[in-house]
Amino acid sequence: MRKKKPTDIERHQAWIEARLNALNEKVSVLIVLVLTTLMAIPIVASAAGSGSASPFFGATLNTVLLYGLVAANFVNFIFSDL
Amino acid sequence: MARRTEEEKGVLILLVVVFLSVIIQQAILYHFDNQLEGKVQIIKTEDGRERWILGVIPEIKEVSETMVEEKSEHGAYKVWARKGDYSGPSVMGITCAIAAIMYLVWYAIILGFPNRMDDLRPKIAAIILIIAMIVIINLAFMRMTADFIQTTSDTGDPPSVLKVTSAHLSLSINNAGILFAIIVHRLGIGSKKGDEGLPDLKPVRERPHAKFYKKVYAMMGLFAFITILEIVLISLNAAISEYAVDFSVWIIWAVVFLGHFGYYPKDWISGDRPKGLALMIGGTIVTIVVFIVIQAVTGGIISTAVASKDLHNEGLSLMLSCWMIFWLLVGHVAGYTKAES
Repeated sequence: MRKKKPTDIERHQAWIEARLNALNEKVSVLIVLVLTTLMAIPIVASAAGSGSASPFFGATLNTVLLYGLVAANFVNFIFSDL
Repeated sequence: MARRTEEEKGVLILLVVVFLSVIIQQAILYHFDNQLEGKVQIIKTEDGRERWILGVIPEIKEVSETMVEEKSEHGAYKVWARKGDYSGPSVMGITCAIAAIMYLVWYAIILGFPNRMDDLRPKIAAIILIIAMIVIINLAFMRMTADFIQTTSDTGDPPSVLKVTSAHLSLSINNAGILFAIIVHRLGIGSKKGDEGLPDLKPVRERPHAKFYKKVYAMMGLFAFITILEIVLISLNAAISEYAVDFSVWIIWAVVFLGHFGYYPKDWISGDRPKGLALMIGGTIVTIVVFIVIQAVTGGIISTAVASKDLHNEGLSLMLSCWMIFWLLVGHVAGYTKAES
């Protein structure tokens, strides 16, 4: 049986999906970086205000990186499948 | 069956290499700590101005602690590091856990050691890129901290730049290594399609909305559990006083656990997952016991902040969460998180 030739619309849809899928990974990294930066603001501000490590947040870079890891793992979890 | 045995053998070799890397890294940083016995590192100043190379690398000199205490009332010195700020000997169990997770991620996911080590050049380039990013972010944050850190202190102990930035240098190096490894791998640098590293993100149109809600409900349930657990650990004085740090590691564990073992308890016991659960819990308990023995043998010099003289059990929460993440990832590399046997 002859294979049906894809229509122009189907080819266009496949092209859009392929471009969107490639963007998916880049967008996930961007989300992680944005979430990390948002968390960094109160963490660094609390240390800068007192001139020492915050008693709640602890060391600035260490805590920023930990919340960056929270964001990275959360994005992995939500956008991937088992 | 033969292929599974190969995977398990590969994991044993991987563990040996990971632990060797951790020991070498911590030994180097411990050497820096040892050199500061009775001394303190300060940032050199000339004509009242701090000396920095390229604006981010400080010129450091060592002075005695008493000199810093005497001067600190007048704010003369910016302290760069004190003994213990590099490797964190008082919490060595925790710093080793983070280092172990970083090396496991680098070797198993980025390099594909030991079973998937084809085409190494882009993978090594990815590792070099990660190391460059670690150096840049650490230097940038330390430069920023040096600008706002306090130099005066009534108690005679102004905080050090390393302490305020990283708590212990090994923590910021290793946490940055893990985060940048995930980011670099997601961007496809050093990996090709089909590489078994992080799970593939679902294609846009196929993203299952029903599963999205399942994930959110499972995450909320586990989130409630770890909140209660954290409150219990704090009330038992088994958590560090920086609650944001302690809680963040439990959140990471919860998300990684759900991502590898499934959303509901019935998923956690399907296939080979009971082996993974046993490895996660058993491995953690054995590791904590080993570190307590090391603590006893070294007389508290290398400590874990569990059953220790100075910090009592404050490190127990972090020891549990960090080592459970490590052994969970080991179980994943060994294939013990698959839903079917």
